[in-house]
Amino acid sequence: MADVIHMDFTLLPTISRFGISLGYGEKTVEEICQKYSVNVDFFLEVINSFHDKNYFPEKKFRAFSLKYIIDYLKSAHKFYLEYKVPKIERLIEKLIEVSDLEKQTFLLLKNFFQEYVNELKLHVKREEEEVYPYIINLEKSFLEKKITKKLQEKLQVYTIGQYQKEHGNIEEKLFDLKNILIKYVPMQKNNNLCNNILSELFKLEEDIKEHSEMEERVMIPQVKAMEKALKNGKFEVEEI
Amino acid sequence: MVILIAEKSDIIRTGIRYILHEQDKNQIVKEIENPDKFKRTIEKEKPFLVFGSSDFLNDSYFLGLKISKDKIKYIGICMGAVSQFGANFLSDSIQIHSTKADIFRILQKFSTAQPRHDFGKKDHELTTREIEVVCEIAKGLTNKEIADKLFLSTHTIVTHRKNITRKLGIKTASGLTVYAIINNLIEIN
Repeated sequence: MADVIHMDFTLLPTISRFGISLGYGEKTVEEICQKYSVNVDFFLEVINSFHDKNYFPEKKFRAFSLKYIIDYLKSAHKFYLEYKVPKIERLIEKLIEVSDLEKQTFLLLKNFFQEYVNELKLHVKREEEEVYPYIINLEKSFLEKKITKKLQEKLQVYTIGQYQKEHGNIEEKLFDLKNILIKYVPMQKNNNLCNNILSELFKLEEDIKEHSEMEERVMIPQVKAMEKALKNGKFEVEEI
Repeated sequence: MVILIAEKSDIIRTGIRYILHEQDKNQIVKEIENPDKFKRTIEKEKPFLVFGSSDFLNDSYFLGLKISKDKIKYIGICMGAVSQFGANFLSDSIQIHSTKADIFRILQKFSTAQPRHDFGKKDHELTTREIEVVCEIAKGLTNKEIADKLFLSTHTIVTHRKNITRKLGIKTASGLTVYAIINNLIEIN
């Protein structure tokens, strides 16, 4: 496992997202995964897709239970909101603190970033409170070949297609913020700080891109297939 | 700006392209080997300079030409006599045994007449109209409201917005507001 980090240290945040912490000792990847009860195949596919941006084995991912995928997506949310976002906020605060002439500009940037964060939070909330529970429920029915009346009714009015339509677009603000920093922030002395913020924004954007790919190319198609099967299949209906 | 090489021989085409790229590796060079498609290629690529053999640059081509001769400079690739060409229409010519320096000289002579790159153009600066639109967006107006205020159609506003986004790299209304304030286009109230 230690070799993995030596080869590509940028994987560190991805690895800790699985709940795995440093202090690997001499253990292999498999042993570490066992220790933390992580599915080793899933772990390997995820870190490989982060390591090589062109590698995204959607077929392999689709073979894993959606529960794994959702657990993973949730921990990514946690990472964004509890770590990445506060980090960028602190950097912007710092920028406001040390600048004198451009204070006003940076205050604007802070508000703008805050708007983005609010959108992100709303997005996460909706996924975790509505979409994911729905999917977990769906997968359970599908595997047990039993469908509750409630779910059956829900399927009549709601499908993942609706979520898919609303999905996306929250990255626009992040994109704008990058361009404003790169192109339009007046010249000033705090270059290193600005560079720092920018590189954090780029990293966040990249990570979220990976995250959306997982949702759009793996989770949604799988859910669609299950919805179809549950609608057409003759599953036993539970009267609950 | 495109340079077109019209020549049946692979060896000659490749050779000229190689020399052109030695001078400027970013130069866009298109090639054509079939005289039947020559006219269409000219219309499509709109080159400013054409190197061509007499299979292409002959009287029958030049006499049927609609695009004015001044816009495109034709350089003959000569195997023998220049007279096989629609010679009056050529701006210059090279021989099969011409040196690199000859070709560089031709490039120099004709590229100053017309800029080879668009780098100089201020394609990314907003027009006055676009600035007006940015200001209105920044104030929170919708496309429809902006259209009414500036006496334009909503469709025109949408086009302006597309161009603004392309030029600035800013997609959202709040992003444009930040842009407008930083550049003192509007005041904070």
